[in-house]
Amino acid sequence: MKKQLGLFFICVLLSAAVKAQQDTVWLKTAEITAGRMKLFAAGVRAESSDSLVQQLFAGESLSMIPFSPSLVVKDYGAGGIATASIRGMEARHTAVFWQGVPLRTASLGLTDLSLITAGPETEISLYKGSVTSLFHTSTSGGALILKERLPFNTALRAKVRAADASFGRRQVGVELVTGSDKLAVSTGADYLNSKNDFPYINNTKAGNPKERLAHAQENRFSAKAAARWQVNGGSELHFAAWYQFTNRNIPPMMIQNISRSSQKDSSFRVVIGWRKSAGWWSWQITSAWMDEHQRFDDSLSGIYSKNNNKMLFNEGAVIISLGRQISSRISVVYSHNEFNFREYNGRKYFDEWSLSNAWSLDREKFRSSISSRIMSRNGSFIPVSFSAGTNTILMKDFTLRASISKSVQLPTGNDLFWHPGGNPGLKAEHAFSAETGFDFNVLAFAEAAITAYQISVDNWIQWIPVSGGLYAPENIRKVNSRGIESIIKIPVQWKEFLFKTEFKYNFTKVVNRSSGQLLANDILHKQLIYIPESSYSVAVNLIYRDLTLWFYYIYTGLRFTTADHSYYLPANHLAYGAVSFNISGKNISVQPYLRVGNLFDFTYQIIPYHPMAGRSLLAGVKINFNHK
Amino acid sequence: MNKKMKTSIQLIALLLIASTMTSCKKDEPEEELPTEYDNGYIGQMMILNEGAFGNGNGSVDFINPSTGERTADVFNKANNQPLGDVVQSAFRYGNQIFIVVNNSQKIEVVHPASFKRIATITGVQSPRYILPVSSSKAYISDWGDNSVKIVSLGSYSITGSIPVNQNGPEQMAATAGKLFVVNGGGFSDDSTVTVIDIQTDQVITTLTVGVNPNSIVKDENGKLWILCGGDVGLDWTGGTADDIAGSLYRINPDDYSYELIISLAQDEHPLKLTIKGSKLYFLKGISGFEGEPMVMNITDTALPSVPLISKTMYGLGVNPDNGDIYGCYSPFFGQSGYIFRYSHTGGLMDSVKAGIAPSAAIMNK
Repeated sequence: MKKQLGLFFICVLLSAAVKAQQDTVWLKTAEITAGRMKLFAAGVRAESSDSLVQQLFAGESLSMIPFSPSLVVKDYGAGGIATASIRGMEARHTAVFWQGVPLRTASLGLTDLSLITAGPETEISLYKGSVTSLFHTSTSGGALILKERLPFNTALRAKVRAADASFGRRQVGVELVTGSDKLAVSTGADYLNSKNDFPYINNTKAGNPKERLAHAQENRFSAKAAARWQVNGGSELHFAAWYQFTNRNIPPMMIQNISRSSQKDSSFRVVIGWRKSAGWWSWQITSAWMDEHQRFDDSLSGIYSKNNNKMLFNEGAVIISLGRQISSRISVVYSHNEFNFREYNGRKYFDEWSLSNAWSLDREKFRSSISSRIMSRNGSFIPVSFSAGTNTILMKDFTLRASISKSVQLPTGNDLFWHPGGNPGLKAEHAFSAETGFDFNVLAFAEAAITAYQISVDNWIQWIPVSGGLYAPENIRKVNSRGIESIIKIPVQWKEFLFKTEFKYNFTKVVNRSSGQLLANDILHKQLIYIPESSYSVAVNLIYRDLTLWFYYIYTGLRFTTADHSYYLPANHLAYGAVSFNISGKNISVQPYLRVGNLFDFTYQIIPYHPMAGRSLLAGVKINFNHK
Repeated sequence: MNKKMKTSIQLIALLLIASTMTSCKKDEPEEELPTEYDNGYIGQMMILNEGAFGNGNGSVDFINPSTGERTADVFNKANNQPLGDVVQSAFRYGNQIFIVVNNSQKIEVVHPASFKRIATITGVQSPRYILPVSSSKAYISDWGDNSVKIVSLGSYSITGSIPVNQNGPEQMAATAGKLFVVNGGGFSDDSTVTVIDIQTDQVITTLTVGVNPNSIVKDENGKLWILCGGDVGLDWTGGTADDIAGSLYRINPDDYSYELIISLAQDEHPLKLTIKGSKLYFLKGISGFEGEPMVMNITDTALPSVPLISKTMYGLGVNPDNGDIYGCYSPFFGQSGYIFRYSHTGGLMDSVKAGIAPSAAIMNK
């Protein structure tokens, strides 16, 4: 702990000691640039991943990328799933979109971040708070939005990556990007093979033996292609396809001796769209097809499970500009989700329609938006979702944000159809949220923002024992989440040094307001499991000519693992570091880099008794052809 | 240093102080732990808390019958290590308590007074119960490969395996040189009892009983009582048309004759049979996982018409000294349960909090 604080202090003092200059080249705070977000999500703040981090973690799964304390990842470690939580909500309240299409499977209602890889050309944005009414999918907690970059007017560039890391981890990747004034194309592939046989002290066994994680090998392959083509004046076709498979063994927990579990996942996703602008109005149509297969085998417990999720997604949208300040977007979405689990007693489906309408008013110092959505599932109407927000520049470098929303979270396939227990009579969850905050500059060179929010969820779906060992979901809880998010970015340029420091602090208090469960008094008004009250991060980036140093530290507070707080996991302190150097030639640049994970070799768990790796090293090289 | 710089350093320092404060923690006073040389937990009721599957939060508590006070998570306290999950069963034999931890694939052997670890038995896949038959030999029923493992109590290691060729070997009883293993069905169904020769470790015969036998006890007359849970049917809920009724068997272990068969009603699924003197105790419910405590005499030929206690429990135990009944109440695998203590006539005496999913109460003597 002393070491961490020492380093932390040094970084902080360095950042403050170096003389600040006004002509900083720090990139503007990232805001979501996707059309509907930019125009119709006023009052809501977003974070996007640092481009350096994305380069350093290119080809990794989203669960591996250090992102933000706002994104709480419940990571089962090597071989396990990883899900995301934002603002105290659960994984099912967090939507993940790729090219505007939801990746969340209708059956499980969540996205496994360990299966979602991001290449260097993938933009990742974290949207906190509900924007449900702008999408076909509920986002009561927030959303992760992935978008493939497709720049026009780019000469053919090729990037080849290779890395060798601790614990038998090897990965290679390749990307090709090119763009004329009419056509932009990118394609890439990643392959990873890892033994994940890291050592750890097993403090659950006699003598605290040092063991190596066994039965944890993972193979993953991912290939993406994307293109957009400006057909003629104002008309554009776009296309993206993504194939991925992951084979992984699931290691034993620390409290076990052996495991015979394994999981195979494969997915194919394709999105095709056409958009056209015609002066004061534009329209776009998007179609997507997603097919995901999963097979889980555990010969020890006799569980053999296969499931398949398919989704057809069609969206048509029209955006109208009424003068320079007012815009409106009307969209109709139809999706057909089919999913097949043995435990569902056959194939089930959701046929869903949604109609949404959004308006925005964009003035020089004032931007506001309002949106609403109505929806039906299998012929039944779902109550309206809506949101409204505003950004108001109160004075120079001081902007007020505020938004309110109501979102409706539908039960998942498991909630409705799982046998035994599935409850077809479940109602949708209703979440009301409000947030307000300020974006401001401190001392003229540092950017800061602070946000306070409150989310109140009724009809919260919880699986509870209903008869003996049988669990079933019920609309039984009311949950309140409130919190504060803050960020300070301090960029400093001194001669040829560029020094960037970013602090983020999150406080989240999320509790059960009421519950119809047995012995509910033991769990009421207590922090929900796996959500830390406090978390913060420090990111430091130093660039000097072709040398880049990067350091990231994240503190995650104590997390309870039982609803009555009888068990908990202590806080953890994780740090990462990297150094890279760029050697440029005429048409080629070579970038060797070294990345360190868990820099201080901190022993921690995110899920009880699932060991996490200690310090790890990754040595890699990137070769960029025609990089200029 | 200019004023702006000063202010920014102050801001940052403030942030640092605030964040580091979260990791400060008050020292808790150290609890005095019993040793092997005093009475420690002997004479107290041992509560097995299963824990949630895969969460490693199974535990053992002790309740002092005189004061009603609970000492929580004694294995962790004595050994500074978690017990694991699921704490399936325990058996005291001489100066050893054997704790079977199913999902952790082990049996912890601890001292009954101090709960200090003596040994850990591994080499099992999905252990359910252990039964020592001598000071040098014990048997473990193992769902993992449907076998009964032979354990050397000298080395605390597995020395052999006896396939039962049935599903889900469960509780065991030893009498007349034979080991009787009820095959509870595991992840499917079964309705047999495997009989094993303790001398040769060979299967002698397989008896047929009711559907899904889950527990077996030997009474003071040397007879075996076998409780069969039946089957709750495809809907898992019990109380429906596809249910198969539970049943209670009394068997003569010498000639394997069926001396008594009591069939329960179609939607009645009993479990957790235990015995104190001439009285049999078990739970009766519709789900097959929990039920209301019942009591009957070993001379009875029919079940009582009403339960002794009208509260659904997940497990139970009886104090052999005074007949007090300990009902284990588990609301949810995500929070602590409670132990309700009743007099032998069924009157509620008191209650105390337990660990996650309390499932059995056993006198430590």
